[in-house]
Amino acid sequence: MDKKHFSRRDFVKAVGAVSGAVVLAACQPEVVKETVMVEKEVEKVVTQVVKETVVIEGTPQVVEKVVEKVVTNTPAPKAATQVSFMVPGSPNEDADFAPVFEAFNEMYDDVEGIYAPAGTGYGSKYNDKVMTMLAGGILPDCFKSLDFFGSLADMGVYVPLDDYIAAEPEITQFDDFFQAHVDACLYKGEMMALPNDGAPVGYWYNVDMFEAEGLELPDWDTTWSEMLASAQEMTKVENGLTTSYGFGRPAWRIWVWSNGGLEMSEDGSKCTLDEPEAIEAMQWIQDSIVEHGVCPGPEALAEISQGERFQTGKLGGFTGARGGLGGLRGIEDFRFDAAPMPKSDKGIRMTQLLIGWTSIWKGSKEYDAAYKLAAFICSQEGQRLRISRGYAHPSRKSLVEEEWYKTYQCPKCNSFGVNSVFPEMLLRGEARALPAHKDRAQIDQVINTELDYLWDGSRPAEQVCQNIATEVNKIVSR
Amino acid sequence: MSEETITAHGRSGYRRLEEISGWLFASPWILGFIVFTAGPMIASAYYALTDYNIVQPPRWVGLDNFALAVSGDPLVWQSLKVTTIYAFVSVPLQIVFGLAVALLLNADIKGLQYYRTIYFLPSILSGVAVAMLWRWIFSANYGLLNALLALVGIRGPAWLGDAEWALPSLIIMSMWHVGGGMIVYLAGLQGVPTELYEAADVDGAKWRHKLFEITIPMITPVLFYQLVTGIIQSLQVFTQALIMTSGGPKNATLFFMLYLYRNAFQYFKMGYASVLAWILFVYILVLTLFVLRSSNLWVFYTGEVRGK
Amino acid sequence: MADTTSAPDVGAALPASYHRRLRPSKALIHVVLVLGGCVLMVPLAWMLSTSLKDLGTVFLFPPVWFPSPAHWENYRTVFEVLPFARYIYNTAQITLFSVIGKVVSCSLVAYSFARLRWRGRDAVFVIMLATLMLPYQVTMIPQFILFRHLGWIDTFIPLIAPHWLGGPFATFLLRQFFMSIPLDLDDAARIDGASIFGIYARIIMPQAAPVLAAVAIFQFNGSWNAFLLPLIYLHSQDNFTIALGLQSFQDQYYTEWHLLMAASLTAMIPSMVIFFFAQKYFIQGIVFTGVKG
Repeated sequence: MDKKHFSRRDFVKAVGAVSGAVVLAACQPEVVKETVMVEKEVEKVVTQVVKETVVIEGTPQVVEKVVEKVVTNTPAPKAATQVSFMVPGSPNEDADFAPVFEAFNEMYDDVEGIYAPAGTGYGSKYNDKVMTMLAGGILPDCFKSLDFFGSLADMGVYVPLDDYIAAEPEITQFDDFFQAHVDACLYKGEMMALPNDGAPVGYWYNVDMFEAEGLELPDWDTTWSEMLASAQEMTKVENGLTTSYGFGRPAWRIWVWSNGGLEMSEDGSKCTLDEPEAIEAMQWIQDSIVEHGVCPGPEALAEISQGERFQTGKLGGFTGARGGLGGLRGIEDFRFDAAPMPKSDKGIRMTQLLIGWTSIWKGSKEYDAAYKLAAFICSQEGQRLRISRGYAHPSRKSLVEEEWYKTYQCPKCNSFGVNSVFPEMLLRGEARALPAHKDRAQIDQVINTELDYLWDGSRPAEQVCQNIATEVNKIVSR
Repeated sequence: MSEETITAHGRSGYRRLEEISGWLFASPWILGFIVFTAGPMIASAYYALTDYNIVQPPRWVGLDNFALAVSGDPLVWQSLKVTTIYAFVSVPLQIVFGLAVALLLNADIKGLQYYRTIYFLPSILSGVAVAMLWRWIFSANYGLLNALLALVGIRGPAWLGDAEWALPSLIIMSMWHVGGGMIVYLAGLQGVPTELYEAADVDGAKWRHKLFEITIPMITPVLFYQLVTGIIQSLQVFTQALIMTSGGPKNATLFFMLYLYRNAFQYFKMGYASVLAWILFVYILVLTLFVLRSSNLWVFYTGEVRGK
Repeated sequence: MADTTSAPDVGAALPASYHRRLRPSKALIHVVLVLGGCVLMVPLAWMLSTSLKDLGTVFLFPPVWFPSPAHWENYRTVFEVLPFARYIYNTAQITLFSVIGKVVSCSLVAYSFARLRWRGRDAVFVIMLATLMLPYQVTMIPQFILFRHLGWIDTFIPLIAPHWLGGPFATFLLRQFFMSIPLDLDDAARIDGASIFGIYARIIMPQAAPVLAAVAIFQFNGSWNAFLLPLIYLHSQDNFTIALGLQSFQDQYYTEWHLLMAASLTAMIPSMVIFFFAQKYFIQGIVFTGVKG
């Protein structure tokens, strides 16, 4: 009697624990095999495999039953091809894209676009999700890429778009894209994406701080020396503590480029950061931190980023993308504006273009439909509908001419510099995107680690640059 | 043992019953392991011998990854060093603090429910918010810590911005989560038979004696749990380094798991990352086995049943 | 008669000086707890304060503790800009089933490790611990592929099912606790005719109330705040959980700190409430301490 007692209840309990999971599986709506689309009205016998939980001798068990059903198909309208598009997703982004998808679905009868936010926000989590989905083979048809563009391009994840661009000139309107944006989407000479949007990095400055010292506001002719001189006036030190700085840490790539150097050779096979122009540019930055004290060092930046520091009104200027307007629009206490990137003392200005890429996944089943969606998202209409908040910068020359873009204003902007400076740099050819490189992540990591020695002044620029070149060349030659 | 059971089955029958029951009761985990865990673990061991970028099929390279990790990659040693220091310092600290807090929260005072909830809260605060808070606390010029230090006349370091203080900062941050350990200790403390304390009171024992001669010995099973899980978890820490310091400055907070994560998901070197994972596995396993072996000396179970 | 806690209070039989010596120690405990509590509450206060600001004033130095006006509508905005109520509902479902599964399955497995003798028991225990030692990043993708073949992507199953099949941390903890329960009770029960399962259900489990509560609390928080598994397994926005919702406040151009804090605080409330009311399991004396004599 003991044994029977034990075996029944125990068996039930043990199986129950296991079937818990299986029952949950059974509770999912069963995956119905594709219903057959037919033109005529037919009666068809369709067999389906259905999972059901039945109780046998007091034990819940899951059985599979083969069920035959008679299905009558009425002629249905031809199902629209569904294509989905993934972005990191956020409340604002969701709101931005809603009108785009509405317009797209109205425009096309045979294609249905689905907006599929990843729910990760912007950051490394989006990368993780894309990688996992890639590994599992279930990416959406189109998706936005972040800085892993070069690596994925190298691995053949994207569909090359040149043929589609040639075949669909009307929906693509290729010539309307800024040249810099187009270049950013190339990998080994092939277009691997369409440019979503993107702005060059500009120079945001605090108008009140400049005027308080009687300084000339930054403009198209400002050079590094002038920038330094202004910064020295604006930097204030009290009791050994710097309470306001002249400018934030300049984006080092922009400095290298503006000085006539490049951090990697054109074909991406060699690091050229150890060349004199690059070293000179890096040294300039280090001097501004260590020698002149007009730029915050690593300690100061660890406690508050330069964008945030600017919002407190204690930073004369900083290099930032136009998208930074999103964080700056709440500023109430002082006037600010955007200026072109200062020229190096050699007279060159070359700023960095930061872009978003819209690509098609190689494993998608619907290239044609996916291309229609991608093209629409990047089209004039698509961008116009999306850039309602005013932070994104269109990738099309025609759009920056439109009134809504030219007159976008936020409370404390001093002038329309915000709207004119960025497209102008693009049109002058003074903006360039970082070329796609398959080892971008690793290269950047190595560079950033070594740069820690530059920012705190513990190693001179020449040594830092040479160390970087050695390390990076090791990576690219593997 | 029930008379019926013995006569029906004999002692050996009961033993067989126990044997079968043992497997049966453990079957949920065993089943889960076979279905969901063993396969992926074997897969990752396979990947360790390949060059695998997740997107394209793996390419066999044999022991190349292992050779690189052991002899050609200084970051492997740097990250092992960082991780080891972190684990060996923070685990003892967390155990001591966790127990101390739990003892305080087990005292017979009013408002215990409220105190406990307050001490529990930090362990459920979300990651981004916590990162913001600590950034402020550790801020060189405006932060809470340095303000407190200034009150006693010490000029605090740059904490997260200073290569020498970044790792200690993260260790301090880990103290934040003692709330979690507190729950475990509280559960353990409830299991200490009250007669033991009563008997001690009759003998006139001081709180010190009661702590070290009753409480602690009686909760050694729980301490053992905290030690083993502390080792396993602290050697795999990386979220804070990812969010707060990105492994810097100068790789001072490059935790092993962070380096592994980068290789797997940013450099697309899943094969190399798998080798790193198995190296860490062996490291943790060796440490844990060592602690397990030693447990016979210091862990005391009231109801231990020694197995076959 | 005697107190069950560390400060004995044996009544008036002791001289008055004994009592005087003891009172301060209770007061001291209060002082220490209050000080520590204040330090711990500062971050929470900051979160609350930030949740009532608008975006422009989040980063003022020194921080503004009492924003005026206080934007209480941020809490409503959270529910308007995201289907946050849906996320809460999804998370609640996942959490409920996970907690139940965890407590049931882990206690069964732990009982086996703690009380039953079988060949290979200790080896299996070590293998179970060993599964915790391999970093999840390298098993994440094979597991994802496995679940994909099972067709469980974009469902809650991968988030719930593993908890019905044991879980090393919880099982380990329960095992430790079960091994601390004296054997006398088991023997007494067996003499009365209890089966192996009966001892589990009638002796061990009731004794283990505190640690079962601990496991439930841990699993509740684990599932409620889980980020990684929902990240990779959930694809439709309708299925997202709270953690994913919180993550979406990190926009491309900036982070909506005020909404993020409001949402985070809202999400914390169930955990706090459950913990607060679960306290009744953490009172000494609820556990029988053994058969005397």
